[in-house]
Order: sequence, then structure tokens, then C-alpha cells
Amino acid sequence: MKCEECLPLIEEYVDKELGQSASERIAAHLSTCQACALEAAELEHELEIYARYQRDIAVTPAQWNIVRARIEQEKEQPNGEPRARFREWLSGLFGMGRRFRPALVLALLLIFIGVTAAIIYNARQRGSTELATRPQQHKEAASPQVSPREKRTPEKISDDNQTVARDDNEKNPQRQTVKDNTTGNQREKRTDLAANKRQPASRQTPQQMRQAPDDVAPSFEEAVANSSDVMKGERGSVPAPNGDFDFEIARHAEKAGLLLRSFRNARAASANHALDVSYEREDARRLLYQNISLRRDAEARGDRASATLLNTLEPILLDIAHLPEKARARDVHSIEERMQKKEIVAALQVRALVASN
Amino acid sequence: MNSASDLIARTRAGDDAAFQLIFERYSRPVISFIYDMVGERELAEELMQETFVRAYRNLAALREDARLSTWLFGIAKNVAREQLRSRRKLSRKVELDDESVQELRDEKPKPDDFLINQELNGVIRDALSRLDEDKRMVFALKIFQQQSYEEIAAITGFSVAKLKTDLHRARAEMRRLIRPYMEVRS
Repeated sequence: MKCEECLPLIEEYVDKELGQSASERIAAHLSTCQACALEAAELEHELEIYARYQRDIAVTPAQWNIVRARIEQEKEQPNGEPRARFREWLSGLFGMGRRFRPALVLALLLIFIGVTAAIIYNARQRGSTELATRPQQHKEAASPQVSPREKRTPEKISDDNQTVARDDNEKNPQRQTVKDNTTGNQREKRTDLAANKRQPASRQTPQQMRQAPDDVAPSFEEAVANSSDVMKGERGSVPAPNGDFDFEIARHAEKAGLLLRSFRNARAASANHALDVSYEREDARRLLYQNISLRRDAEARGDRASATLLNTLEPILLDIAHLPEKARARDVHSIEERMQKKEIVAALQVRALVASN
Repeated sequence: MNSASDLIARTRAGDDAAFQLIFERYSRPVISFIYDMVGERELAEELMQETFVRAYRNLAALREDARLSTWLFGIAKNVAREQLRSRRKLSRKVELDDESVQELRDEKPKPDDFLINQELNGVIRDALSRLDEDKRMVFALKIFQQQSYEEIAAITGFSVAKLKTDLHRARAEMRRLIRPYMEVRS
């Protein structure tokens, strides 16, 4: 062993912290190296001096009596124990010694609350800014590279609705899978909506041809004119777009309109034949909760037009939501009749349109 | 019969006499360590009492495999540190060479050694008080209490590497401070 190896370990050697092998190597080196041996001797000498150090303290029976008295006191006051522990914990936490200072802790708590409140306020501000920009983004997304004048043609309305449906499917692939597995005809209807417009009649399947009249959305003027009892007397009082709330209503109306049109397209071979409406039922349940929430909001805001529309929509959604998975055709037809009577699909399209514009 | 584990078990079972034995066995090293840390006799006594009261209160939390002395030194370290922090806030200066402290002894040395030992004690106390808190703690535990590196790491929460460094620097600093006395003595 060399001195360079020995010297860094010499304190540990003197402290008896080295393993047997390393100790033996150091001892062998010290026996041959005078400089390192001197260093070790100096350390040993220091230890001898420190060993002679005497403190002017003593432990007396009186001290034990004090300790015992304190322990007895704590035993008699069991409620004081957790409090004392809490004080100790806080004292340790804030490094304040045994004297816990409520004022300092209170100040720290106030600072913490203030910082938390500021973070929440900033997060909300950021959230509302994002929501305020969403309607504009929605308009842009719904009609990419289209001038504002031509974007609200009937075909565009239908395409917009399908865009929403596609967005929903992309956002919720699980639901898409369920729909594909359980309601093959529904999937066909949904995916063939665009195909109906693009394909000539000769290339359409009989099923597509049968569905075609229902799938074509009415013209804007027709839709407005047909929104009789829902929009009656309130067409002129449709509230102007009002930030995120109007956007929410418009989105909801679009989704509900899409659902109702999908439901309306369901056909059975006979009145007693069962129809698979599991997808519509699930969708109706989801929309129902949103509808209730939005209707209450609309009522609270005094938005009578939206409240009336949502109020009309609600029982229809409720009826669809309560249908069995394999619904009887007559039950489905009954709901369709009510939809037709209320002209709810057109009214929903108008509402979506007004908000979008 | 009176091993540490027996005493702990008996104390946990409510035998206060067993805890008195623990006090008698460990109070001396604990108060010495606290005194090295805080440098005041009365305060060290008070903190030693606090250490044992806390130990009694928390004895249920002592792990089976933990050494009692290590655990007690750990509590003593916390108690002493809390006091030192509190005292720093009050900007009170530690007076290690207080005359009243030096007047009290638990052993009576021979008359010819008295002055030498008194001087030695004063020098060491003064040198200790000049070390920073971490170094003072490690030095006291290793040199005066003969705790192993592993035990010191458990008591202080320091890594072995840090405590080796602190110990080396504390030794060097102490050597520098007491060297004149060592040369006279030799």
C-alpha cells in the first residue's frame, strides 16, 4: 500500500470503521511508513485528549423525579398527549423550538390560501378565455375554406351534423365499436348520410334509397317556417349568441338533431318487429342529462326560446332513453309521430344555425 | 433480564421501573451529547428530561430492530436542534465558558491535575462551540459517544459520505483550536 492510499483511510482506521482486510493492510503500511505512522499516532493522541474531557454535568435522582412526574402528568391527561404531539410536530416543522407560535402558522396558512386562490383564479380566467374563443373556432372548423355566405346551405347543415357525428365517433371509439357490433343498420345509416348525397340514385342500395328522403335536411327557409309550435311567436326573440352558453346550446341542438334523425330513420318490417335502438337509447340518455342542465341554465338566464326548445326535446329524449334495446316498432313509431308533430328536428336545426351564425 | 429489549418490552407493558432503568442507563450519555450541542448545563438537563419524556411517549413507535441508544440519541438530537434553532432566532450567544458551569463537577480530580483539566475542558468546550452544528453533532457522536458511522447516519439522517466529510473537517478544526494546548501538554 502507498501513502496516497493509506492517508485517506487513516481516520477510519483509527475510528475502527474499516473492515479486517483493509485494517490489516493499513497496519502493515504503518509498520513500514514513518510519516503515516506519525499521522496515526497524532490522531490517537487526540482521541486520548478528548477522552479526558469532562463536562460539568451530572444526572441526579431529582431529574428522574421530574421525568417521572411529567410522565404521570401525561398519563392523567390523555387528551393533552395528541395536542402535545401536534405542537411538537408543528414545532419541528417550522423549526420554532418548543414554543409553537400560532401567529406565524396563521400567517403561513394565509399565504398558502392566497397563493391557492390566485392559482384557481388564473386557471378559471384561462378557461373562460378558451371558452370565449371556442364559438369562433367552431365556426371556422365547421366551414373550412368556405365563405360565410355559402356555409349555411342545407347540404352544409347536413354535412355539419355529420361532422359532429364523426367528431363524436373519433372522440369516443368505444361507443363506435358498440354501435357497430349491436346495430349494424344504424351504423350504415350514419355512415351513408354523406354517401347519399354523393352517390347517384342508381348506385344507392335499396336501403339507402329508402332512407334518403329522411336524411336530406330541409332548407333553411323550410326549417324556419316549420318550427311552428316550438318557435312560434319566439322566432324574433331568439337570443343573440351569448358566448359559451349559446355555443353549448348549439352543440347540444346539433347532437340532438342528429340523434332524432337517426332515430326517425329506423324502420321495421312490420309493426310487431323489434328494432335495435341501443345506440340511440344510450345517446339519448347522455343527451338527456345535458338537456336538463342546459334547460335549467336557460330558464335561469331568462332565455325563453332555448328553454322552450329544450323543454320540448326533453320528453322525447326521455322516451327514447327508456326504450328497451329491442324496441317494438309501434313504440318507435309513436315517438316519431310526436317528433313530427312538434317538428323538433327542424327546430333543433334552426337553433343550431342561429347560434352558429 | 435487563437487556434493552427486555426493558422496552416491560415499559410497553406499563412497568415504569423498567423505564427508570432505561433512564439510569442512558441519561448520562444523552445529557453529555445534549450538553456538547447546546453548551449550557441547565438547558442540557432540561432537554435531557424532555428527551426521556418524548421517548416514553413514543416508545410504542420504536422498531424492534432499532438500537435503543441510537433511538434515544436521535430524539436528543431533535430536541437539541429545536432548541438551537429557537435560540438562534433570539440571537442569544452560547456561553460555553460560563463560570457557573465550570464551578460544577461530578468528579473531584487531584489538586495538581485540577488546573490542567479545567483548562483542557475549557479549551475543548470553546473549540466545540466554534464548530457548526452538523460538524459538532457528528464529532460529539463519534469522538465522545463512540457511535459507529452507521449509527451516526441513523441518528442524524446524514449520509455516511457527508458525515465522514464533516467528521474530517471537525477533527481538523478542533486540532487547529486545541493544538497549542496539545503542544504544551506533550
